[in-house]
Amino acid sequence: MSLRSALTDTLFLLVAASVGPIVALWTGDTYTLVTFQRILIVAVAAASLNMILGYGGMVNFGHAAFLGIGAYAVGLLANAGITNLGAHIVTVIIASGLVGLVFGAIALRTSSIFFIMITLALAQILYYLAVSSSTFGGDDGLVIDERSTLGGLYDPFDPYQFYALVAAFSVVLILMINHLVRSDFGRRLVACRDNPVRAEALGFNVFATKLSAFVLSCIFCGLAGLLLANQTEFASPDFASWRRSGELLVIVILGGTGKLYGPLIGAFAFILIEHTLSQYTTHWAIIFGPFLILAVLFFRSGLAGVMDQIFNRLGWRVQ
Amino acid sequence: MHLFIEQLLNGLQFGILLFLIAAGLTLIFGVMDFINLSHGSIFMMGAYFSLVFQRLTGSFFIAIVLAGIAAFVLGVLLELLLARRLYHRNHLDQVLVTFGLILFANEAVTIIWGTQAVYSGLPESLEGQLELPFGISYPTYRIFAIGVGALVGLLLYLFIQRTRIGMLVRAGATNRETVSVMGVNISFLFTIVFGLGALLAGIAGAVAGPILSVQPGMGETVLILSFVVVVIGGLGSIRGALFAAMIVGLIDTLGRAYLRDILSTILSPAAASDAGPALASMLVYILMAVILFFKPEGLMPIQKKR
Repeated sequence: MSLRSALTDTLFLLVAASVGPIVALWTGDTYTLVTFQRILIVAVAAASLNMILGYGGMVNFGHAAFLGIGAYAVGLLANAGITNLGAHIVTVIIASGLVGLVFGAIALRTSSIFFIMITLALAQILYYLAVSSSTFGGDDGLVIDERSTLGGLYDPFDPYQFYALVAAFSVVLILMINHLVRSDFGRRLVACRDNPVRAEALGFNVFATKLSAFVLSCIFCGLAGLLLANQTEFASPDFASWRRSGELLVIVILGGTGKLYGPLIGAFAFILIEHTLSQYTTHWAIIFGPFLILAVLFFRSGLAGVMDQIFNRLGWRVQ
Repeated sequence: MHLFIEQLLNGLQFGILLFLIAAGLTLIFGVMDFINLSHGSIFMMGAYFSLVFQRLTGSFFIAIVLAGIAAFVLGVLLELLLARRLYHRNHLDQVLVTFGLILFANEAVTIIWGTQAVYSGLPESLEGQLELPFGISYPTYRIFAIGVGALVGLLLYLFIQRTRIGMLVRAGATNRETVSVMGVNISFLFTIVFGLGALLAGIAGAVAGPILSVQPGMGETVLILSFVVVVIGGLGSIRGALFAAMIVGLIDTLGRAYLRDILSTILSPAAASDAGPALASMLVYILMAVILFFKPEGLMPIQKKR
């Protein structure tokens, strides 16, 4: 990745992350911060899905399971008295990495519809584990008493400080994902998607490339789950439900599949739509469902695609 | 022993229900290569349609037939307005559009009938228990459900194997292009297949209504299980779907009934009562993962010629 694209990336993400606190300071309403935290966290999860969906062509219909893994890992550790952020990060990386490895190894033996279905089924296993096991709080989920701490360096319950942590964490994760996608590894992944036979002939190990991407994407999503658990102070089976996985797919598509900023834009749009519509009616899904159908039918390149076109017309070069 | 036979019958009944839904799904997969998440919503609509028709006509049996017809019409409309625009798109687009349909259907049902489960009374002839041989008594309605499922399954078999349209459906599942080259109106065939799948799901919903609770989202658990059935059986294969539906129905039911007791022989009672239900609900998915690991095409894949 060139220095210039790294700088543009960082700048763009920092600007995006600072919208929340600016609005909050302006209106004096710290609840705004919660909404913007959600956008950033969802953007990380969506970016991790975009990495395998947009660049690897893997439609993971069970991606939200890893939000659940991250959230439950934090919940179980925090309620056992271990609140150190470092310990949380390491645990989440190991847990989601291992589960991702097993799931990926099974799912990648198949392709197309079978891949979609088997990732869904594998995620359902975890969902039912969370729902029916009393260790995980069953249906009710797990109330988390403590947010991750940084050894007294910061106050996790101060809204601005907590926002800063979530924002910094999300920006770093998205930068890492962007870096991976732009790297040689990312190009190999695209090659394996577009022409597996030729990629194999060029000496790439298609299965290993796809599997590594899958595992990495699971780890990133697990870390998004860590943030989500911190934000909601709760771990719920609902985080891992197939509806959440569906929503993540929707966000990636809405933003623009295979576009670097697609997930962030998609997350922003999705949460904004949800927020606005639910102010008018609790039945917001009755508007969102048809909207989604129309978006998929007539609006293929997503919001990021539209923005690219606008920028190009203005004479700016993006990426 | 009596209890075990009862559980076997429960498994059979659940398996037949799954088969009715999975048969439609697998037909739509096999012939159109279309992944239809909203199939579960049609199942749900079948249950609600049946309630409405029962109130209108006063007859439970007529309501089931009418619910099936209404679901057929719904399926045909869905195909004409939406699905046929998506056949040439990738599976992801199909997933998203039908996901949007699920959101819409659940919310529409919530607005019309509320989130509470709606119950319909059973006709007197189907209430109570039926005395079976060997002194087993079993709920009459579940016997009825098994009977209806078996009857519809038989009719489906005759339709697919013995009629001209059924022959085209089989041909379409094997090689779509050749069928259309032979001068068959392929888009008419697609509409029929979609409607037929919806009809099966609608009847399944109408029959399952009194057994499950009729409420928004009732189609989703059943939908995901039917996907498992379709994938285990092999995409497009009705025989595979029947076979897999029975396996899934029996394993799911027996797992829920006996896994806790089996586990308590090796684990402590507390651990067993915690792990039992968890493992029971995961069993089917684990089975699917194992089968796909060894046979990625499912147990009875159809010979697809491209």
